[in-house]
Amino acid sequence: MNSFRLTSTTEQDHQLQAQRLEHDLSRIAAGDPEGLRALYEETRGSVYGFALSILKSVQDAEDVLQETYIRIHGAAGRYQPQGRPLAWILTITRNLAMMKLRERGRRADPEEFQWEQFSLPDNAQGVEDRLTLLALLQNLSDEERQIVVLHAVSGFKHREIAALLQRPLPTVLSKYHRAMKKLRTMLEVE
Amino acid sequence: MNDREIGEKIRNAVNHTVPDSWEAISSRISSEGTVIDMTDMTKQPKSHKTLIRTLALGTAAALILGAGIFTASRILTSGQVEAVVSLDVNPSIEMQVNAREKVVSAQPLNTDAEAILDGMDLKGTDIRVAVNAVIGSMLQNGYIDELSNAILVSVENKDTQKGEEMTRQLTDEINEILNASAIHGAVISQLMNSDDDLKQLAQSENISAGKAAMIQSVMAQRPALTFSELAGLSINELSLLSTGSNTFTTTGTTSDAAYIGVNKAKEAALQHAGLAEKDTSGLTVELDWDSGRMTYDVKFASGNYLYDYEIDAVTGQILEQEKDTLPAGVTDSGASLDAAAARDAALKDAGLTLEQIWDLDLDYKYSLYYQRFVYEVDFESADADYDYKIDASTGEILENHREPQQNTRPGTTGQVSGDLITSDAALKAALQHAGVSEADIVGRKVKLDYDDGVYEVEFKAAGVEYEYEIGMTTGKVVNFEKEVDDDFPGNTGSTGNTGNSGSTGNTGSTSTITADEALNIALKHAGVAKADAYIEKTEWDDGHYDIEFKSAGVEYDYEIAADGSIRKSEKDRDDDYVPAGTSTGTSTGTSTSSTASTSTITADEALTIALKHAGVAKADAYIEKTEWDDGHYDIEFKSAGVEYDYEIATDGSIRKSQQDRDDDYVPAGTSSSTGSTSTITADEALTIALNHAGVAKADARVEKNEWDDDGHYEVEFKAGGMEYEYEIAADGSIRKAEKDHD
Repeated sequence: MNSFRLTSTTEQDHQLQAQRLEHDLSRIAAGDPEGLRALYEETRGSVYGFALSILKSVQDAEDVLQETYIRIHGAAGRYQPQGRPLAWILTITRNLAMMKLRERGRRADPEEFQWEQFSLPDNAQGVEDRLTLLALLQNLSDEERQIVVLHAVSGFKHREIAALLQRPLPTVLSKYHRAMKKLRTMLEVE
Repeated sequence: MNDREIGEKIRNAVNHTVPDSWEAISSRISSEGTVIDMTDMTKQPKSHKTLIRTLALGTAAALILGAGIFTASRILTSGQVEAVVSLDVNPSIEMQVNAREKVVSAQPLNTDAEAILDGMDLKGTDIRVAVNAVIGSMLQNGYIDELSNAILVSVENKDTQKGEEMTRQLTDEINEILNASAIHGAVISQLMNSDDDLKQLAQSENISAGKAAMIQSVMAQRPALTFSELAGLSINELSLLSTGSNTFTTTGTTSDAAYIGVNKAKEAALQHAGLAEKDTSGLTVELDWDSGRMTYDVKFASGNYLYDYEIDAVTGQILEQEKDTLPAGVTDSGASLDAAAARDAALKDAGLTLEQIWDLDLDYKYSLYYQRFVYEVDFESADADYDYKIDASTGEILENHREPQQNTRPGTTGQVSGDLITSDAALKAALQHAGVSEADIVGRKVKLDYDDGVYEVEFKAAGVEYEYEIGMTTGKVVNFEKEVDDDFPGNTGSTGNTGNSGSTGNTGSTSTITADEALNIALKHAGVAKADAYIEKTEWDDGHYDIEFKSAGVEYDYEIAADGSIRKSEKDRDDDYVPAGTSTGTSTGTSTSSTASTSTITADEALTIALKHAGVAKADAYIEKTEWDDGHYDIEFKSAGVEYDYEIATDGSIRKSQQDRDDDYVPAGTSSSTGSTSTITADEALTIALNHAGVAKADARVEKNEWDDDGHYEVEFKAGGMEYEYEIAADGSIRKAEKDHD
């Protein structure tokens, strides 16, 4: 039998992850330092990817990455378990990133994305990663990039993305498909 | 590649690049007075290396923190500066050091450095600790990694012995930190004496005197590069461009991991020339700086031709291609005059210094006309554009052309907006325009001029020399010139620039049609009025305009050649078409509303003004944006498949009103503002399933696509010997995905 149920497993994964993260958040609220560490290890890719997709700057994204966990550390006690801890975390990330954007606007020296800042290993994987990031950062619109990253890195469903970004679902869907079309052409040309 | 594979690529790329900020986070939390102590941290399973790094950085940070506290209460008795130490990576930092090797002051020399020094008080710290802290901060901020690992340490000390000792100690210190961070670094050090000229030069470009000295050393090896051009480069790049020097000591190897490598560059050039390596002679490949980026310069000879390529070191794209004739019997025994001397002869003739010019290009080639090897020296100044031909053995100026300058000096190069077309496409665009086929041309030179935003294309055919400038992203002819070819055997007697000076003009004066004209030809052919067409694309592509537009549910695709002829016309059903009389096209208009009061309006009032102007009831509008922005309200909303964009000034006047088709519009009352009740159509459900499966619609045999009372679409299809079964919920999410052998 060569049959598999893709979504059911990912759905299960999601629920398990949500349970783990809520557990971590309650540990943080109780003052257990290991809670934040565990939460960090599990979610840093999602947080960093989302921040990078908004800010297009490795350095700014790293700032927001740090700041997000500092905030979580202070706010974990206020988290209301609703089964969507990652959405809660990414809302914090989004707010911090938007603040960063405004701050950047005031400085009037947008630190736009510079690929040199990525530390990637000197092998085929590193080159592939770099090309993927280039395609992602240089060719998609801001919203397209955020939608694609939330879907690919954090496994968010389109309606969850719509809720987080406060955009209508059809907009998210069509932007997602447009973005994937662009990425396909670019990544296949490479 | 299907969506899942693309998603996986993205997930991998992000997960591979996410920085490890745990140490920074935990130290910030503990310094803010909350838990997490070091014993807990060290219990974490960590590699030995990271642990050392933590300690190394931690120690320096602690020492500096301590020093900061002490300097507040202690007066520095000895402010006498004995040595100057500068650190350059891309951030440039200069520190003054007293006789007791304590930092007297530290200056960031550029913006990157400001971020590095932010919040650090280095005053009074031992120079080794200060260097440790600065390098640690650069590591944390991502300025030093495996792709860019070179650091320049410059020490100035009148006491040579002390200076040498300090240089050695600081080099060791840096190597230790890099080792602890598991980075293979390259530390370049120099003991130097800067004079006022060097200091001034460094100051003018916001770099340290140490980096200025390194640039001068690179310039001595690469006469085609100028100081201001090199000032923006990182130490890593400068080090790769340097072929070695006695004044600098290097430990470790500078990383070229960011680049495609010599072999790939060589392959790209050979492949383009259609040659195997065994058919060539004198093949050389070296890293170079050209068109504002790192390149590989690939040169070789084959048959009667000399080839010269510049390959983008990151992307592998060909930025410059050159092919020159080398007559039988002529061999290149090497120029007796070096390129720098040729450059200086041209500069002297023009009465200019190296600091006053840009876009310098030095080319060594055989001239059929002069029957000898020459240097072609091209450069621009504030007043003119210069082209020189210099005898490569005597230094005699054979030709000098000078044209009034049309461009201003470029600033620091930024990112390209839009994709670069290939150098081949630029050549084709020029050939097309000239009406010459590639088989008929003799020699060629296609070169990216990044600053001017064009490819310069030169070739000869039937006794005529052509020079074109082709937009580097548009592919359009920006400028062109035609001249009698002096080297052509039939054109005897004409020398220098006395050719039939051709017309220099814009695209308008040429036979090539513009994009607008091409669009009109397509619209006319389609029988569609411009106002009714939703234009999706008008783009120059490989010898023709690609025109795509939609109208009344039909998608049109045209290819219009440069002469206006229709090469391709295609009509297709527009799957995205939304009927219901949605307005199409873009109309921009300005009008002033009657509210003339000077008092500032609120966002709500601005919205009301916009809605009224659009004739849309508030209840029917999906408000996307009401935002104050630079002196006006930005109002965006959607209604019935139309997207509205307004700018309302503080006095209520409408500064901008724009209407556009809403591509995201889904009919059948589905687009609700809450998103909670929206339902996708059966077609959309199928598309979602197909996308997820990575199957093209044309390849799928759809067996079932219907709404199930359980609240989802049941979608089944077969493709490529597999059977797919999906359940797609009303909101487009996939509830079930199954795949089996058919």
